[in-house]
Amino acid sequence: MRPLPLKIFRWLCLLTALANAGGNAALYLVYEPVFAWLSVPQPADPFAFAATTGFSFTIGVLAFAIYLRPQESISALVGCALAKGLYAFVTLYMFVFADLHWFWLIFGVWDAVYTVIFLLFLAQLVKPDLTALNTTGIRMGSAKPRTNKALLLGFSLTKNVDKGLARVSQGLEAGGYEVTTEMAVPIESELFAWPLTVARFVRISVRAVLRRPAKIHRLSAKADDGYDLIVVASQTWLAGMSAVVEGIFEDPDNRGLFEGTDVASLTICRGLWRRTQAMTVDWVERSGGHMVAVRHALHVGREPFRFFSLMLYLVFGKVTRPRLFHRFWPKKYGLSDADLDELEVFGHALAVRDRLPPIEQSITGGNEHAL
Amino acid sequence: MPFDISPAFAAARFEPLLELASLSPHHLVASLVVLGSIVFVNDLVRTSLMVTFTRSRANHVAVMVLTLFPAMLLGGVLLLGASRYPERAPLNLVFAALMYGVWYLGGTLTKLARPDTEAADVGFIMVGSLITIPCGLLALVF
Repeated sequence: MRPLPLKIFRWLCLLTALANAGGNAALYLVYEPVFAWLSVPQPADPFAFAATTGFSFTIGVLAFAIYLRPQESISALVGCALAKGLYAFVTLYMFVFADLHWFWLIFGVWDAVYTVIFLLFLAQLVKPDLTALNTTGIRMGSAKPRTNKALLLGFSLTKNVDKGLARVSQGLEAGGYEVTTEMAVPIESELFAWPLTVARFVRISVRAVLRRPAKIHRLSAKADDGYDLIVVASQTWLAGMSAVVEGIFEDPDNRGLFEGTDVASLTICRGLWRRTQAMTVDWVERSGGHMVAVRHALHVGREPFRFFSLMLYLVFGKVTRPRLFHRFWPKKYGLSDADLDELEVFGHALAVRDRLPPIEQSITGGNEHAL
Repeated sequence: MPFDISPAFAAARFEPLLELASLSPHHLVASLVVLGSIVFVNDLVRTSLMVTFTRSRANHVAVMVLTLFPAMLLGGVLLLGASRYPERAPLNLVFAALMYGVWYLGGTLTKLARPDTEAADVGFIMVGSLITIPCGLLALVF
């Protein structure tokens, strides 16, 4: 299923803008003969009818504003989706319980469809930079001088991220980089230790839902170590970044590492990667980093067996394959060999990424010109 | 009193909503339309929330709730339906199963919005069935 282009959503907004604004204005002017012709009861309360058509007209105006400047109309889009959804529900409710004439269901269905359209449009418009990062190759690096030194940061509970980063490291080294890998060490090391117990699994899960941070020991990597590339790898814990990896960014002493440095995000998980990736990118940008790439790699296997396989692995600490589902159960935990190979290719692509031209002082003194 | 705020009045106001929420045989089509709509748009809303307000605890909890909300909703509907129309409990299980298809469709439809989406998370949908099925079984013995 291919995404609808922006212009389709814009034209759909224009269509409902014309229908809502133009249609309601026209309807209010001619509703008496039209209703008589269609055997629709005349409005019992002219004021309420005028208010409803006026409200619908306003939604049309908002839809036109969204058509004109979609990226700047996120709030309007939310409002319109909510308004249309509520109107569709109220129309159905009144049809079922208050003998509303079927004629009004036409508007209810229209609004129900447009609730979906507006929500899809909203999903497209939020964080378009993530779509761009996910659909393009490696972006051009910053103008910061290359030192060919890379830092790989992460935390690995089950050694899955370890394996992923090791392959990225191989790719970077093949591209001429000197690589340092540093895994964050949580201060609460007994809590975040492998294998897990059921109690610690539950505790980590609850903390992940409530986004309780995990402090880490100070990283040995320093800003003046001269890294020109950092790869941050995170797993997903209950839809978000793992608390330990987030702890890297929450330590203000680490901000200097990322300032002006090219950064790539790698999410390794079972299946929910979007929010973890969005959180990582947000943290990197807040820390002054320059995002050049994002990747995600999912565990081997097919759903729903992959999910339950992960749960059993976390609880028992080993691959557990129920005999009943032997044919469908993932044969191993973690990333496939193909995905690991792909990560090595990714590492190499990062090593040979293009670079923005540096700014150089002109010889006439004082003025700066890009080459 | 100039207006009625008695419990009976309040109950009367909510009665139509309870009828819709219990898959009443008198308003079955409307019930299914409302229930299906909520289940369908759940993942559309969740898709947007997933990448926004990344530092907000409230948003993260909302995303977690929406991940399994259809399952909890369907479980509640089965129990409410069984309390009001016990003879329809087995049939309601069939409707709940159909709603799982709607849930999957809603997630899949997010692919129309952007390519970088997880679409329908079958893993969590199956986890949802571990919520709905016990509610359905409980409804059968009501």
